[in-house]
Amino acid sequence: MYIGVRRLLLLALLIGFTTGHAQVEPRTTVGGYGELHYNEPEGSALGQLDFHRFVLYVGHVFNDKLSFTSEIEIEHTLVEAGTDRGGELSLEQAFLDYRIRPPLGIRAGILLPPVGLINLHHEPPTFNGVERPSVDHVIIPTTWREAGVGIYGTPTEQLDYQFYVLAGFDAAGFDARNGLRGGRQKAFMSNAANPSLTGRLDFSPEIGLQLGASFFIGNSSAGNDSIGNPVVSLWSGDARYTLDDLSLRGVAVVATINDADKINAKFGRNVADRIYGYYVEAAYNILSPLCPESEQQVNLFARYEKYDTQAATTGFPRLVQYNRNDVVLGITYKPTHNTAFKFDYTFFNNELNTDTFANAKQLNLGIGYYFF
Amino acid sequence: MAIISSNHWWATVGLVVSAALMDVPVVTSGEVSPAELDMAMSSLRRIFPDAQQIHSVTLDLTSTEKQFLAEMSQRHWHGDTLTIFVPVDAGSTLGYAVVDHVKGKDQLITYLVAVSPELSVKDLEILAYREPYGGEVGHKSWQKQFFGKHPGDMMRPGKEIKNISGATISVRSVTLGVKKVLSLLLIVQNRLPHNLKEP
Repeated sequence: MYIGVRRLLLLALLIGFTTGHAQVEPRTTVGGYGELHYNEPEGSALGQLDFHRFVLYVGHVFNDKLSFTSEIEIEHTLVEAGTDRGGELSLEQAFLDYRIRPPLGIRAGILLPPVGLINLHHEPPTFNGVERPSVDHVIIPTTWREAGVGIYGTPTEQLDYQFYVLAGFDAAGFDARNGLRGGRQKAFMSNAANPSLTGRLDFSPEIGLQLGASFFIGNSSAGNDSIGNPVVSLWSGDARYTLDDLSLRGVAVVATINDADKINAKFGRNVADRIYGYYVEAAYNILSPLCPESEQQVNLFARYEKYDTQAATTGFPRLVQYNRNDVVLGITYKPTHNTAFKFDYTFFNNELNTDTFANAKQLNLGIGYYFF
Repeated sequence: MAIISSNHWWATVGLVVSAALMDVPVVTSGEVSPAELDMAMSSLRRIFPDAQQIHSVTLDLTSTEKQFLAEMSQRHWHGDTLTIFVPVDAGSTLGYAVVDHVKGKDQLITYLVAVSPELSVKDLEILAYREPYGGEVGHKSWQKQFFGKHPGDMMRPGKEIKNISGATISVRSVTLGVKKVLSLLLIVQNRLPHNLKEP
């Protein structure tokens, strides 16, 4: 009988859990981030000043399990009607989370494919360099967003996962120079003919060391039967390690595009069968040994990037000007954890290096912030 | 000092249910919901395995105390009372614990800080994490950095407390939260119950 009562109480408790007591008051929060850039290519008299990104963030908590996250972004400050001036106004993220319990939640809306490091975490003070890494632009097309649904959770202490079904690429936008980038549908009347699968595992074996593996696989025909079966398979691994004032990070990514020759025949492009890229970066907070009490940071950093959107081709010779590497040397000064003044000098090199596709150098200055 | 306060009937119900399930008689509750309270109780039983009973004590906070807190921790305490969980065995008070909420990037993170009678951190538990990302603050390997810390110790994110890339905001929030709870316990130290025992 005693057991019976206990079971009844347990049942009552479980019902209490599942029917969901609103444990937190419904609330709406606003935040944002932004970055102002000055870019001056070597040899040009004066560079360009650009408020590259201004993002407003709105979140709402409905109850303890259900919440909404969104980001609205204005790129390059303005979008002027009736002209070709201006950047882009976009809904960068907008999704609902239903957190059933820590090991399992459901997420639906406009999501970020969790590939690489920058696509998910791109608040400017959290990365070194004025511009995002080239690999996170050319090979992993950040900011990359598509509509979809999936699951996420933390099954064990060291492991987090995310798996989503999202709208796929549209091969009509692929090209030789920027690989998959032009094929993003950005959740704008996305063709849903090719649901794609994406996912990420985060493994943290010890504090300070974080390892990630991610992928994105899906057809990119967008309903166009004449280009065969253009399946894109993108795989990536990343690592971050922090030891006191030293931070190391690296990303490697490779993507294959099936039936690239058919895409090229149809759209008159030079899309490669395989593209890849990687980078390694080391940063050291030089302020810490000089001024141990200070919570400000002065990070000296160096990054080497290699990225090739013409790694393997069918039916045309590789366009070797798109086999590139960058060397970025710079300083990130962070007076607070959420503001950054950035300076860097970037060397852009490519395999061809002729007059038309010459190696180049560029000075970059930037200011970045976030607040939540 | 109010040894028994039951501001919320549902908390009492939750408490009775929890107590019946756990065989740990619980005296009363503070400002936490039943599910959080239930989680807090199981955390406390894990952290203080010798506890025969867990009391709940609610202290009124004066404006001077709250001002001290703001100066010590650069954080404010919302509300005029502080509920402290006090695990006891037959002979003595085993320590103290406080449940609190801090704002992460967007949503509240509910956490529990458990300390020894001398106010050094024994354990930390994230009772509810509601952000889409940054849940690594729930990992014990990260939380262990706080063990043994006293109210006066430096606990700066990125310095004494290691940062987690991709979870910087949560790391910051929880670190400042622990500092806040420790400061508050120090401020009310003279009023903490030292001689609660299992009756």
